Amino acid sequence: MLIFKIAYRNLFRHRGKSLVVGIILFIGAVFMIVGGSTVAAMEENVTKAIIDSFIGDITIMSRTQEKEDILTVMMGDSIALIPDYPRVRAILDETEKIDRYLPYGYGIMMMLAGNDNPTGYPAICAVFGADLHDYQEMFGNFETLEGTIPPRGSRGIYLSQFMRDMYYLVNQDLYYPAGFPFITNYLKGDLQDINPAEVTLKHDIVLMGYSSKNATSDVKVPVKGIFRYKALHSMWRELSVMDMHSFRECMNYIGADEKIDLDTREAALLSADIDNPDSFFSSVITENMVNKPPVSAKKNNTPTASVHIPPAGGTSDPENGVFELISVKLRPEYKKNPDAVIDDLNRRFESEKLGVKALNWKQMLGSIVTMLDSVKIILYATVGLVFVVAVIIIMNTLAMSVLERSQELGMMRAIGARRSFLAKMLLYETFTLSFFFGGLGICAGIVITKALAALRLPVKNEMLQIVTGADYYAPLVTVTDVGIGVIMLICVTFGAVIYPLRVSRSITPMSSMSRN
Amino acid sequence: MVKAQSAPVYKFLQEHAMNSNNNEPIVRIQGVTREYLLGKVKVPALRGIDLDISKGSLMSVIGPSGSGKTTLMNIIGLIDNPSSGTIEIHGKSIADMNDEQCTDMRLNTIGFIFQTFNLIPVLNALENVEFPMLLKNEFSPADIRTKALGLLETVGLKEFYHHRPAELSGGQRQRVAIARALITDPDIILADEPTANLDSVTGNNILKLMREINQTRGTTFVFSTHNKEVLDYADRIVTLQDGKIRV
Repeated sequence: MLIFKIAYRNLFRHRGKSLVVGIILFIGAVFMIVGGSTVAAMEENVTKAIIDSFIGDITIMSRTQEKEDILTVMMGDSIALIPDYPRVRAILDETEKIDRYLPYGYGIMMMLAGNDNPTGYPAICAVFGADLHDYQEMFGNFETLEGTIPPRGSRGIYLSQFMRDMYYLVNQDLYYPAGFPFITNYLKGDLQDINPAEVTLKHDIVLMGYSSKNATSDVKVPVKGIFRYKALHSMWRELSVMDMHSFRECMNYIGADEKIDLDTREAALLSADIDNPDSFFSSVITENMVNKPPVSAKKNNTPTASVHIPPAGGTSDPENGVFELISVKLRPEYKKNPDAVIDDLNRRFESEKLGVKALNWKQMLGSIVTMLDSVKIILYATVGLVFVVAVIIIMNTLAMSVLERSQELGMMRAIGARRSFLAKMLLYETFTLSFFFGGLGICAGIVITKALAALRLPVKNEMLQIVTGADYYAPLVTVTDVGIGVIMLICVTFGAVIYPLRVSRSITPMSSMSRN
Repeated sequence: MVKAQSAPVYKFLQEHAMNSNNNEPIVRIQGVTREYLLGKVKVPALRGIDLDISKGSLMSVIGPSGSGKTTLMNIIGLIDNPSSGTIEIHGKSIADMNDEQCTDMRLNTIGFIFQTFNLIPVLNALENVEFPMLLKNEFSPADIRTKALGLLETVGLKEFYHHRPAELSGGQRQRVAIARALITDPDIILADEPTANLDSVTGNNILKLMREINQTRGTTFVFSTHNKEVLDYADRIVTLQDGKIRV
């Protein structure tokens, strides 16, 4: 009690220094709580956005697919097909922990200029192949700007706003959904001032897939809508979504069940000795083959090259055919521990030799995880830097305080106080400051964080949206953050008091004999 | 409000009265030298001091400035270590004592009165007096408080127990320092120029008090001074000159 009495009263006696140290601790604690909450919100929001709005808790892919981070799949590489989707589907249907799932494909495609623009340049785009209706039901991530989601089984592409604008800049072809008036509201920048009469407006887009395993096709796909992603648009804006059937055709994943018999004329055409084989790919051939069914592919997805314009209208069951990936969402009660479900699924897949594997989203999007980790490191490093500076300033202030009191401390030593007594006294002083001001800072940090979360400040900058994990800023204070805050405060206190303790140890009873 | 048990003014002094005729030295110094290194030059502060301090004596160490008084006081008080020679306290050599043992020896055996009073500014008079006893951690806070109040009464400051040093005069502060030095019942009290910062009247009063305590309690006092008027109060005078005792 005596030590505490002396320590407590000394803090008041040296109000100026106490306040300096206290303010630094206060600001540091606030900064740490708000910073930690921002990181926590980023993790939670980004994870939620990615899982809920983009990729699901679990992804299933072929065991032969070496590169699991599909977003880094190079142009020209293709993703291995799931060998036996119906059996995989059966297992997913039986698994109670699974809420829903969506089979899909992912590929890099070329947006071609089309026959009416022979000098036009192609553009590269990334495309998810999935039923648009099922995709929106699964993820709800489309913010439709123009057009509408077609019924299940329909053909069409939902073109991302970014790709639509970019393609116009490359080729002056402007896409908008058929059946809807052309509007300029959602065009970027000065594109909104364009005169429709002076641009080429189109409803259908010609896409050709890239594949390393097989030749691919040009497919004309109707634009059903122009959209933005609701969550993390800046991350996904180059990704468009097209129906599965068109996707398969682009990538030439036409299965044996789509094989048709050729008539004599078509068979002769295929086996004809053509001087210029490239004419098969020319627009002349395309026009001749309008409204003809596609040429049959061989089994096991080794198709020949073909150009196909799918019949207008009509629907097909997207489940009929091959897929590259399956996105799985778990029931809410199992979301906290997806790895347990992954292990169960992999055991079943292994035992039934299905040739597929289940992964968590971090394995699937390793490049995104790396980027998020980098942002986290930068944020934590900033908080850490603040604390290092705080430690140095506090250490210096306390050391000066000890030196100023060397006669008083020397007297204490002279009349019988041990070094440990002085050390305890210093620690009590420092920890009292830390507890009071640091504690106040932590409380203030929590209040500020909750106030900011309630305000949900909008974040317009797309790069900042990666930090906040959403288009608003709502930091999330957790018990872990507060716990880490307390531990950091203790570490800062200890770190700051080490040098002053050494200084106090050097104070001898001789210091009491100084004549002032 | 400080609570204290009532007690006769000098009751505890009578309880602690010592036989002032006991000749066994409390402190024995033999062949002690002390040199300081100033750059490469060795400056001798003490050159072979032999000194016995007996129980119950009121000894004055006198000498001009630079004669080694403070150095001698520091060495007797175990604040400083000699360069050579031996020091014994109650027959025990301090040569092999570590810092903690020296600190404990000071706490239990030696009391200090400083020229600049050296009271703890954030504690009041009563708390300053209690301080050494609380360091010992052997007695209950209530007992310590009782004893401290008694000592403040002894030095005539009972009414000022709640005042902090900044609220006391120089003489009052020195009285508090004397009470603080006495509370652990030390065998020897070292006072390094205790009246240097006081006016002559106050200084004389302090010396009178020290003599009174010496006579009633038998506490050994050693005080250093360069003021020859102090000689009237000492029953033994040691004169230092150039680091040596002048015979």
